Amino acid sequence: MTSFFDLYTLGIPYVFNFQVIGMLLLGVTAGVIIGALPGLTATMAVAVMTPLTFGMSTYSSFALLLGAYCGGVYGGSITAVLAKMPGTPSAMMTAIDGYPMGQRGEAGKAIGIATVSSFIGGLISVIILSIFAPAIAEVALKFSAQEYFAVSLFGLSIIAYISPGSMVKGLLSGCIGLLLATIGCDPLSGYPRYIFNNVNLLGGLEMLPVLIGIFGLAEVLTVAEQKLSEIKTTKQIGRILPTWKELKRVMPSILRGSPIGVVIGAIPAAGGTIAAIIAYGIEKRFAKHKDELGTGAPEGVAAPESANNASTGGAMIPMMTLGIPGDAITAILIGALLIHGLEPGPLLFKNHPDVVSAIFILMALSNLAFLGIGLLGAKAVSKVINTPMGILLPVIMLLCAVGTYAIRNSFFDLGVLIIFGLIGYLFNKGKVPAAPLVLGLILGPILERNLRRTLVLSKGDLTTLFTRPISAVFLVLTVLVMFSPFLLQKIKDIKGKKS
Amino acid sequence: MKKYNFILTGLIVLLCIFVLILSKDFPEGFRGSGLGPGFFPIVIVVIMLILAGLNLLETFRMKDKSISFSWSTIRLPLFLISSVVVYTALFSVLGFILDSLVFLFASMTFLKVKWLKALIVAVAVTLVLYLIFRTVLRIPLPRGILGV
Repeated sequence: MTSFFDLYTLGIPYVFNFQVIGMLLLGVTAGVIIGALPGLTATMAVAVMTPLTFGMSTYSSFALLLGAYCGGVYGGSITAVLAKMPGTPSAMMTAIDGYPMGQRGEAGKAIGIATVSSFIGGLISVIILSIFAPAIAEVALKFSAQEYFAVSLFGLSIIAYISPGSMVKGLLSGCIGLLLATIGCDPLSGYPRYIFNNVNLLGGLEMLPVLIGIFGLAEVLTVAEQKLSEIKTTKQIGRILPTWKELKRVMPSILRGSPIGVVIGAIPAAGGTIAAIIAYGIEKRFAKHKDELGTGAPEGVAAPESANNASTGGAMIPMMTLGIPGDAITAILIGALLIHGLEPGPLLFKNHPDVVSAIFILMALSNLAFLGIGLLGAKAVSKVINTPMGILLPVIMLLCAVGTYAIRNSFFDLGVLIIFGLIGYLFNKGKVPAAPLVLGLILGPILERNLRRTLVLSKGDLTTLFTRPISAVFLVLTVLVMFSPFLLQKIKDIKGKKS
Repeated sequence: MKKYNFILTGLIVLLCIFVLILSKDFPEGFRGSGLGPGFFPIVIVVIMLILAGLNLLETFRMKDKSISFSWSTIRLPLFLISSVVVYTALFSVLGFILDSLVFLFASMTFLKVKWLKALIVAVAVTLVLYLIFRTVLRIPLPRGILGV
């Protein structure tokens, strides 16, 4: 019989040993550096590192990946302050006030505040994750086909809505992902579909080569399009450790940004970037010194930085409890869990409480680790930002290729990597978001299995989806999301006519 | 951008037709319920065709912003992806070490890194990766003509 506290304590003996902690520090350091390098994202860091975890223990591999995740989301802020461009997309808002602070000679102060805010935001999110995830998993245990179908559909519609560019394109991208997910044996009857007599496709498209192709290779190709010129960074950094007075001033912003980050992160597919944008918007309304925002106010750094790191714990909630990723990185983490034979979802909490507990502890430690690295080593990281793209891009591409090969020594997977690298590049070029495709690929089997199961159980009657409260709520939300662009337009039209 | 959108829509419609053709011989579902292996893909295809129509409408209404397929923008991406293809093709012949060295050195010098710097980075990165994959993770990589 497992007790309540097991979910928090069972992982301790597995986590606190030399190897796992070493991997964690390695992951966080690599994450901070890759996150700080402009053009290379936190998502890329986790995608490229996942194949490395193949031969490791579950605990070591999650130490590495969760470290890279938390470190990567934080690392982007250093570049935002020093070079005005975010190191990783979620640090976009940090540049607005962080860069002017740097120009004033307060770069160190801005980085210090970003570091502490990220840490507090991340830690709050881990606490919320560890309190709510077990409870949600408990509820999710009672989910049947209808609920799973409705929640997955909601996740897919929201990512199409949130992705930049047109919503129709987002939905199309999601549908392509769903179609790709049907390659391989039919989950219910075992009939092989769309495999073109290729044995490699019998089990479906391997997830990781697709993910590394889209989030690794395609990003490299897109970056290569831009000029490979060097970036000008602020050289003078100064003292990084923030004073008590400075912290007291930004604390309200951190405490506003963190819960926003957790909630936004927990919405399937809405990640740190959106959390940061919303947190900044809230600051503009409620901050004490709101007039200073945009000219280098510390609040403008603290709020988005606490929010984007708070989204990490939030994004883990649907990923761990339902198997539905909260953002692109947690989508890759699902692939990593599957490598180790662990299926995310409510049963994970019942059957592998040790792993769940280790994930909670590792995430908390990752936040602690980047706090240390940020406060002590930000100056060292700032030196790496200037590494020329001419060196970085080939190295990342090599990592993508060798990593993909290492997953199962397959040349077929390398082909998949190259094809999806190209698809991702063309998507980027046509402003078609690629994230919905990935989510479709992950959610496809869940959607299909549960839709067909629902229809078989109810003998073809779809109303059963609406008579169960949880699935009804999520389906209504889905419809609202799908039609919101049209509704908003209508409201605007009506308002326009009145005036 | 408009042109690209039209091509994109056309490709999606082609994909839909292709999937429909492939699915037509799928077995019937359980006791004629219609829920065989083809059910879900066909539902998706129908949704996609509707979306493709909407996308077409959107395209007609949008202002034409250009996306550049000019040689100067796609030159580097094209070179990089081809170099990965070549890398993959030569992977088992040359072996991991030689193939990686050649790939890194060639693509770095193409991206205008000075040759000495490129050589040092290529050797260092290859060695580190070799250590990680072979020694630490014990993943077999092709030995190729060097035999290591």
